[in-house]
Amino acid sequence: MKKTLTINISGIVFNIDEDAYEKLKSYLSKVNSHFSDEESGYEIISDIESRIAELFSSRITAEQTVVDEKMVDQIIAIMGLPEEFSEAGENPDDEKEKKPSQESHVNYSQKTKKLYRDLDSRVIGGVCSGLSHYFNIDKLLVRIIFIILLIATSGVALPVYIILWIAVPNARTTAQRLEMKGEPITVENIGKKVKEEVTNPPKENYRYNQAERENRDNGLSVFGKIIGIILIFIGFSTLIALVFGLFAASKFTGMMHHAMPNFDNGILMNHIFSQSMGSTLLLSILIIVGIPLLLIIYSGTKLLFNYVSNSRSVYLSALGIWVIGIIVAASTAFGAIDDFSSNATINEKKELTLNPDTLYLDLNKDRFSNSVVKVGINNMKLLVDGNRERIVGNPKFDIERSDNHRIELSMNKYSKGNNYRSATRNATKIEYSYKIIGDTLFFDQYFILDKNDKWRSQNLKLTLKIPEGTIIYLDENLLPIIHNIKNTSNLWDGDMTGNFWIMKSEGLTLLSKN
Amino acid sequence: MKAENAKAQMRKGVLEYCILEIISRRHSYAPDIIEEMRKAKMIVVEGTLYPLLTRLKNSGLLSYRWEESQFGPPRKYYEITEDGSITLSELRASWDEIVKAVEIVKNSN
Repeated sequence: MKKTLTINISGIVFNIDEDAYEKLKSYLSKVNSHFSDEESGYEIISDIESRIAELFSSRITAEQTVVDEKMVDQIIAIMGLPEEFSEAGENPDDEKEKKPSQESHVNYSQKTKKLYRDLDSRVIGGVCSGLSHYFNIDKLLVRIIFIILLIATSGVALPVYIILWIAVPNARTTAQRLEMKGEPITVENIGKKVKEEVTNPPKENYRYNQAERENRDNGLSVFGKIIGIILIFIGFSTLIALVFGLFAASKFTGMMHHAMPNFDNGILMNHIFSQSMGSTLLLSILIIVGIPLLLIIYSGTKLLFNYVSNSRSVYLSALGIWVIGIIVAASTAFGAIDDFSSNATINEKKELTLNPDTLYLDLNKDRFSNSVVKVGINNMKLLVDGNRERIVGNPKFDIERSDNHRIELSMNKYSKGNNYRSATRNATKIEYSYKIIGDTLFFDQYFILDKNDKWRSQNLKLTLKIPEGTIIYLDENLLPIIHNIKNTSNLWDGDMTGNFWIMKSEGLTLLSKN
Repeated sequence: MKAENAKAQMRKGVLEYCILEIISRRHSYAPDIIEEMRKAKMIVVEGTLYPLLTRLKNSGLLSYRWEESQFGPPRKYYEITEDGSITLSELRASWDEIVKAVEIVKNSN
């Protein structure tokens, strides 16, 4: 008694006994791997299979209804072993490659499982269903895990999905479908799958052979998989940090202030770049830093899973996008430099109607008492009053001798801009205030920019012009704003405060030392 | 070993020419071609023929049509194309040249 199996070759059904089946299976897998390197390998294999089906059909009779081992031997003798027909049929080039690859083909048909996307049971791109075949777990479970991951990372897991979607090929041919499910490629299985095969593009066939080579070169060891996991982890966590960092810097500046009062330089960006420029720059930074991270994740998935992809085109297109990022970033930065290309100074003179014996000069301490001022770059400072932010700067205060008998305050407002007009406009918008109470002149510690204005190197030079004979008292509070006031004693700014001074024809002279 | 190699090389070049000759006479099914080749001791196993036919078909020298068969799946019947005929006459000429050349070399002292 012998057990028989039913097989389908070229659409014809045969009963075959077990020993004969094993023999035919190993013969066909040899034929398969022999021709799979050939450009039209698929066609050749199907020609051979239909000839085998024909030979079997002619041998099946009323007495002999089952294909047995003897029949298989006869057919192999007619068709010949791959070793026998290789000498005549191949191109000389092919032959060199034949030997090493043959081994891996046999290997592959026995155990290798590959990652493909399963378009037959896809929801979006078939990535999850592909992974479920690869790990041999339920599709639904993979999808649930993925959705949890997506929520847990607030959507940052999405790039991983997209990378796999782009990089992992979908299973198109029967052979690929079998590889996806890890079923050995046998006559029986191909017969089972053959209905799904709509076309027989030789290109596909060629592709899966390339996969073989790639697979062999990679040598997917446990070590490779560990490195793959590490790469994915590094790429992934850095990407999360990057996205959140940039997002926070661009959107939540107010919130960030309270959370991290010392985190200043990222926020200053907003005050230098215009809105659209700022977001363009952020986007290009995201691309410049993000692309290499995505490539790290891609290489990780490549090491971790066994799948075929055209690495060359992935890397080339990534390089292309990266270069575009660099160009955009550079042109945005140059655009910003352009915003500083012109400068303008406007002068405003105010006559101060006061005529005391002694003029006291002090700082208006109350004006900014409710605000926090953060030191930025250069002379730029950020004033935070509640939720409002304003850019401020220290004026430079000087004292000179007046040409006439009036006391005058001269304000030189300076700004840069992308042309003279915008520079002038920026300069005009510099706000500065002072007040007079009795015989004291109170100065504001800062000049303020309009709330929509960006930082364009604005500066304010205050010059108090006093006629000869005027006595002034410089309060110590003035220290932050006084700037190289000329005096006959050649004292430094710090030493000048807290003293009375008199304006003489030769300059400001120390009156008394307290 | 060396002789085997040289023989294989020689056969390789001549095989395609022979297949074209056979198919140029009549529409042929692969086993018919094999039968003739086997008589001439050019090919022993059928498996050798299929890649050659596919290659010739891909380079436009042959075309085929399907014919229903009593036993098993439909058969591919090959026929020679116009390009194939042109190539064949070129191959004939160069085969004659080769034979002549070899004769001359063999017979000269």
